[in-house]
Amino acid sequence: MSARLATGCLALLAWASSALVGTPAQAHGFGQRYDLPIPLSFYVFGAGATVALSFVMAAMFLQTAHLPDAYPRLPLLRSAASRRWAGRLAIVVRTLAVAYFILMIGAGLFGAQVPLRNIIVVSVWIVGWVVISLCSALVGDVWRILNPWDTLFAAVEKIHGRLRPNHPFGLGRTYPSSLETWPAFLLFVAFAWMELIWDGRDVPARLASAMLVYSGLTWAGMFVFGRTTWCKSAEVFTIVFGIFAQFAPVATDEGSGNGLILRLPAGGLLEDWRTSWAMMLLVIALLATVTFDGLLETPLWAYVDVAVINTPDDSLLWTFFGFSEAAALRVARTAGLMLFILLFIAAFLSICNIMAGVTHGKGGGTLALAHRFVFSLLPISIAYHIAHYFSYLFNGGQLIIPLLSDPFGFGWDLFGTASYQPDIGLVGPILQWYVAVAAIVVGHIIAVCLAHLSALATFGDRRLAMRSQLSILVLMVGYTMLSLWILSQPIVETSSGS
Amino acid sequence: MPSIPRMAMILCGVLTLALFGANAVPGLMSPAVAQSAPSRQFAIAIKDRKVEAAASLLRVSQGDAVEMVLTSDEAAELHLHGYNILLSLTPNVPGTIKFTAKIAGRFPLEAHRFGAASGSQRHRGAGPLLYVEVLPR
Repeated sequence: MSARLATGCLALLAWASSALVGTPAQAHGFGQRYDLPIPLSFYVFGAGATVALSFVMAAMFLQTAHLPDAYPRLPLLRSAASRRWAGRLAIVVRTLAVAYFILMIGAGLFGAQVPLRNIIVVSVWIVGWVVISLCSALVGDVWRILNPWDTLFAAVEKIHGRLRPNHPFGLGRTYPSSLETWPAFLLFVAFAWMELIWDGRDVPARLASAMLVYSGLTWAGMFVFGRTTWCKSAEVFTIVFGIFAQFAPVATDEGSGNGLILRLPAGGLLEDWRTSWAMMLLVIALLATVTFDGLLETPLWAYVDVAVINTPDDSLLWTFFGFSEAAALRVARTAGLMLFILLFIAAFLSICNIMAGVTHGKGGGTLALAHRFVFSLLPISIAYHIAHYFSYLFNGGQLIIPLLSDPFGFGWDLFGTASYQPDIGLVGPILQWYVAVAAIVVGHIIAVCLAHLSALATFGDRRLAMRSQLSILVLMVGYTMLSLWILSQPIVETSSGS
Repeated sequence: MPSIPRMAMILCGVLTLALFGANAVPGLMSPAVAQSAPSRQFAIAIKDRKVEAAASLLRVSQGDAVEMVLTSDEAAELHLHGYNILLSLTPNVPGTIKFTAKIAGRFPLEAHRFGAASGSQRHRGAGPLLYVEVLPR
């Protein structure tokens, strides 16, 4: 049922993207980066440090006989008054988020159809995706408060409750448990495709239409299955930002239900997550898509693009399918993205298979181990997010300053910042290199630690745990080297498909 | 549990060493930076909507005064991204892009238009003409 909903949504998105082709995008789209590739020395050093530190960590964990199964938690918002204030603040933030959401859609539909002069494009890709995912990972689950779909639906529920007190809002159907979080997984792949490949990603009206379609889907889902159920299993942003927030130092207090706790970063990942298949694949897809984003900018992918463009004029691509050049590039990228996700899944499962082999099935079979260890990959994913988006966030994110004064591109100057020129030198290459390499190496170390602790908890025996970790160590070192290699490649743009 | 602080200390130590170590090395290993002449000139010919391979990557150092003299065999609208410099070229008449390379980074020089607006769907070899790499000092 919900799978059909998801396919329906995809079909609608595809329709929205083809129905609104009338608005041309600028030749150079959105999201340009001027990063220099990481110099060889940083690459060699980063890779070396990764391998060396992995062994240091392994050696240290060999000596640690005890398992830090309980990490310190510091309760925040202890008094009732502070909780009341936090609640009020949350309502203000929710209202602002909803207002911003409406502004984005309004600007997208009715504002200037120029990517850099319309607030929606920067808001979706930099503020929406990059800032919120990094805040989720490094601070806490901010999306719980920001989620405009949740806020608006909850408001309608509340108003309905006042008007017709004895009639529950919505259909109250039971969400089929066999669906797990598959809708969220499918929606995430669709979202990643839109971010990396879709030609409407920098066309304000098409982006706004896509958001409206997604809003319709979300509210329909909430109406049928209930708001919280839908958020927990299908609202892709709740789930993805929630995954990032497992790493964060601030979390809601599971014990009392209200109030927040401060915990060790990454501490949340130590808990034994009874993850479902869909959830496990989603974590891997997160890793795969952000890496693929980096890969698209390497000369390696530029060769693929050139090869596609240079296929002979009489090949099936042009004659049978009738693709334009841009469409052919998109098809190649789509195939690449899907292949990359499958490749990552295959790599992870085969490592888990080896792990099950060397531990003689003591911690369960391949799949049980895969579910157990998948969250230890998350720090690497967050690290690569930071490495990949750091300069983009600060250099590209400044675009929001003029846009806040003129969100529609009508020539307004609400706050006197409309003429602000972004300083593209704010984050220079040297800082970018340090941040990128430090993030990847540190993220890698945390991942190795987590995997070791998980192994100790799973196998209960140190020698077995060590043996199990060798294969996952190979996977992580390999992945870290791949990330560093991508960052060391010059950023290449071929024709962007518009 | 005394092992955690010790572990943290070792980690901090290794990382600090690591970062300082990396800082010292780039000067030795980074790609060859042309001698730090304050003024850099390049003559670039655009033929068949392309530049020669040797001119497809121009490396300068931060702070250099850069002067690119461009000649094209057909009319072109050029745009140096980042520095945001536009140049219209008429066929076979040299035009100049001059700037001081204040900001480090990798900036594409792209032709937004060649000749009259082309009607064909497929135009081979789209994408930046060349990159200007401004290496940090």
